[in-house]
Amino acid sequence: MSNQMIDDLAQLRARVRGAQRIVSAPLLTFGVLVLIYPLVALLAGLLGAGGNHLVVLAYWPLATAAGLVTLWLAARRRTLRDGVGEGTHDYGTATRTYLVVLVIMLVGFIPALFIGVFMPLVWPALVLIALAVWQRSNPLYTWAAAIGITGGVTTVLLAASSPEGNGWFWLPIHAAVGLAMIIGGLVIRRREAAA
Amino acid sequence: MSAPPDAADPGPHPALNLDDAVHQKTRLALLTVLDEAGRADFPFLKRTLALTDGNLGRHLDVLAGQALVEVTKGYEGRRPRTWVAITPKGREALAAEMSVLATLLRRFHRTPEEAP
Repeated sequence: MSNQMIDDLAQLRARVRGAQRIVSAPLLTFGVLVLIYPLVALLAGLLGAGGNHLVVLAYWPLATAAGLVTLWLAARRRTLRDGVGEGTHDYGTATRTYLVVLVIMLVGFIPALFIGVFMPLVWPALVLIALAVWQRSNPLYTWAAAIGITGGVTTVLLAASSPEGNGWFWLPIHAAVGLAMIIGGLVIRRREAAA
Repeated sequence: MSAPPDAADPGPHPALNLDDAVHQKTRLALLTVLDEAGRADFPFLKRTLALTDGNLGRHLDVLAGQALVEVTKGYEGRRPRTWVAITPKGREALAAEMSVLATLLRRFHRTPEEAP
């Protein structure tokens, strides 16, 4: 009985969490959604003001539901393929909880939905923070915090820019954050697989 | 006036609270994996803990005998597949074991002057 034994058990837990792709799966999924957002927003601009506002307002609430369902299905597939369960902190519960919160926000006209419009990077950051807390994952929490801070700074810079169209820079920032999440997710996935 | 007789008595050594079924290192590792995964199949456990079929089977029998895990044998298509899930009693036993280990470690690292 020693510290070595405790370390070995912690390493064993880390191996199981690696097999469950605790960090890489949400990073890759939400990285793709962050990368798609500017394209959707640009295309929505062609619809005119009403259509544009509706698409931008609906994007993150719906994309989050789609992302969580994707994570849920991927985890179920991983369980059947690799023989490792999801544990008690599963994506099914996370998805159901999110949908209940979303319905409460819609029914209660809670203005939280506008976070996705005015701070589009902050929304996925908040979702990833919730997932990090749910899955007890410090690396995912760090990524989420970095994305949230980037989103917050971008929003401040956007608000400070003149209204004559100098707000273009949000597009490359979104693309860069999305790509960073996907590349980071792929690198972490390799490490998880090798653990 | 002398101190009450049990004031100086540190009580039973925490090592006496270790459960033999859980404390054995392979079974402790098995419960740790299952606590994280909820359930896992036989090949995953074998691979993760580098055990042979017979060895894993024997340890699972001990844990299942104490109702710490539940073993379900079934088929997926024509392929037999065995799933092992941790029970609530198994989670409690693991938590109790880790708590005793933490107490023992604290006690071990105490300076001789601090020891009762």
